[in-house]
Amino acid sequence: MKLLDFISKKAIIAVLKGTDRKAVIVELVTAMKKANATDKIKVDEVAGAVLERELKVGSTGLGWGVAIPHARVDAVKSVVGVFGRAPKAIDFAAVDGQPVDLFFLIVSPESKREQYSETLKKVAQAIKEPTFCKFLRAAKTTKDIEEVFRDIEVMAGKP
Amino acid sequence: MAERQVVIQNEKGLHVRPATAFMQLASKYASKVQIIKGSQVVNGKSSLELLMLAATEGTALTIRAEGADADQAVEALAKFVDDKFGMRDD
Repeated sequence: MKLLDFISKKAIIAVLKGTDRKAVIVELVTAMKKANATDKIKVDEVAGAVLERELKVGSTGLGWGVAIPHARVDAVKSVVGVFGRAPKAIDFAAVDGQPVDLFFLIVSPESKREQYSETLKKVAQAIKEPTFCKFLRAAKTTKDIEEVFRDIEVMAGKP
Repeated sequence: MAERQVVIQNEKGLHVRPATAFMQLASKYASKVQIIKGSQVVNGKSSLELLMLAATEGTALTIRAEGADADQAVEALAKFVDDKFGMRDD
């Protein structure tokens, strides 16, 4: 599995407009809906569920300025990812207390639990690569970000 | 050294929040903590490495600790896995 297998070009946001947790989550979910071109996804509902879990169950801010919010959405057929980058890191109650500027929203249907785990593995592998986040932050355009996603497959070696 | 085998109990497996919570608990112990899945051995104090196990519900893992508080660490971490990482609705 490759990052670009589940994060489509349409689902890369180089400049997030939101400046708080809620606004960013709504933006990410809206992009997910657009990338999927389906009316079955209700942005308010999905974003509300993601936010509630962030607040009540715990933050998905992993540290190093990265968060991986997640939602179960049965309207999608397989695991779908959205990447968003905030120009200024925002408070996401991350485990290391640092603000977050790189967001990987992952949406998956109930039936694809294994695929969801594989997706998380892939994202974790990429983040662990020291240059990955650095390059993502330095990328200028959506196309540059796409390049970083493509390059990581080479940097991280075997999948 | 202390070691114990556990089986992932929660539906979604060892995903982001459980991995973070596990890492936080493991980090409270001075011992070196390793999690083993087949031939894969990762650092139990790193959430990213834990995510790389892609451990789903029903996956068997071995928790291994080495150090002065190894027994306590394994005991607490095994209980934590059995307890679905303290996440009732996850």
